[in-house]
Amino acid sequence: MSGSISVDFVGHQFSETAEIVLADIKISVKAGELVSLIGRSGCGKSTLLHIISGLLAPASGCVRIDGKTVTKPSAKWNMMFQKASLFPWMTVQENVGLGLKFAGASKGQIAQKTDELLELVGLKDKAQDSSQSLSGGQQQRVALARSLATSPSVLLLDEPFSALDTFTRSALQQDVAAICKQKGITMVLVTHDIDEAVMMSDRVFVMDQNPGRIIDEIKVDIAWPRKHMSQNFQRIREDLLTAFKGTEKTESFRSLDGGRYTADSSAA
Amino acid sequence: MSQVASGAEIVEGPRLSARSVVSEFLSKYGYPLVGIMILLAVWWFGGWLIASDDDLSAFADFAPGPTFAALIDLIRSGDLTQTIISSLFRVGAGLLWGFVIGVPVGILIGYVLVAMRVANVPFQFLRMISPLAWMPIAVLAFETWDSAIIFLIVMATVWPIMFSTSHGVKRIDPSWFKVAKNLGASGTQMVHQIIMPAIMSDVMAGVRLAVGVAWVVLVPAEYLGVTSGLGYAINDARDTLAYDTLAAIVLVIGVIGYLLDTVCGVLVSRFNWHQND
Repeated sequence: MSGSISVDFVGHQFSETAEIVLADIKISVKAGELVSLIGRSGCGKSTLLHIISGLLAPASGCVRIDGKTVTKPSAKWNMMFQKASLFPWMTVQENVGLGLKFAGASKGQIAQKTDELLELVGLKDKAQDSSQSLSGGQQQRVALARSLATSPSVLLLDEPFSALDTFTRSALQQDVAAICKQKGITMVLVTHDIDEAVMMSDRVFVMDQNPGRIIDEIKVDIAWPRKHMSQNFQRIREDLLTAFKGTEKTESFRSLDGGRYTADSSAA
Repeated sequence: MSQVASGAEIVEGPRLSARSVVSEFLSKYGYPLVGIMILLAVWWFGGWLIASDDDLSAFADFAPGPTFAALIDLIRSGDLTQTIISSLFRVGAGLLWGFVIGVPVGILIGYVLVAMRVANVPFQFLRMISPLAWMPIAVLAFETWDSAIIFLIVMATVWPIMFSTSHGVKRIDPSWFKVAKNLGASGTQMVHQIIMPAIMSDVMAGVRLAVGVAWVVLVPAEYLGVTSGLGYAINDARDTLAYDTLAAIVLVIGVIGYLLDTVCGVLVSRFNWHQND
């Protein structure tokens, strides 16, 4: 199984005089492992993900995937963003097949793979639709299928569910985690949603800012598929909340998980 | 009660749809037709005024009657086709060069901020010079009259195409570049699969503007030494005092201009993927 990631003393600042965004980040992720980077906005978690993807070069240190240093983006480790960013002039199927088209696959191969993936994300009947006619959740599913089309060993998720409504988000969280587990894909999720991190990962890295760094690492030893209100879930959630109390700006705590913290705790 | 209501519905149904068909027909053909009738009426009235004034009666052939008669003669003699082809060739060549220069430069200044900053002042400066002002220089610089005229049309078409293109590039969602790079797009694939389709409707909007300007610039440009084309035909008709032919050519210029614009409009919407535009 491939897709192991090692982040070695990565530091970053956008210019020599700018403040340090990331300082000496060291993480290692096993192939097929699902991990989350969680922290407040501005802690550099998204920057770190961009560096892992090769879309951004780090100021110092390096990222290795399967032992090879990442120097540029590759379809072998695909990124999903908060916006689905589908190409509006293409049909759903053309969007999903784009990576294969770039790689020079034949029409037959593309059709077969896109059919299979649209089936997987539950949008087979939308194949010929315009991508603009889809709902937000459906668009994100197409983006997921598009990311999976090139059979990546790593999936990098930059808060891809944060713009979706609760039900859609919850369904996608479970589906993405299940697909990664089933296909043995390594997942790195960036999120500010504690529940999402617990829901989807084997390990959670807690980040703090000024400079962006990892302050804690929590193992999530809950069996798959996970349920929100299980005892284990609550326990790990509490651990993460405690880790967070150490980070800056505690008063704006609630914004961390989109305001759902209060609602959830009263339900529990 | 309910029977009465349903009965009323049955009567109402077809009447309503007939009304909507009528209103659709009106908005598609009726209103434009009224506009054309008004224009013809004004033209006819102007002709009548000229004809009834003794000092101006030599120009009476500008009126619709003689004009349409001259138009039919022009079409029958086959001269008109050759005239139109010459003019369309020049406009087409000018547009092609405007496109070939304007699109790549537009992409460059839209994509590279430094290029935009460097190019902005000179380009805005050049853009504001009437293409016809280049006429003496064009005559000096080019060997044939045809190339001089095509140069003038290029000077008219390159700016709208260039600025629309760069506007389109600036409107590209930056995340599309990220996604495409991530999916393994090479430089050429990025241009062909992402940038071109993304900006095509803006480019076509620029072409539409360019066609309008080119068609306007063409006629005076063809007053230059050439012996073919619509501009030449107008000049020739004036020199031979054939005012009916002159008016017929003006009519042809208007009709072709309208048709060209319509074709461009169709192309703009053909390439348009913006949902709410």
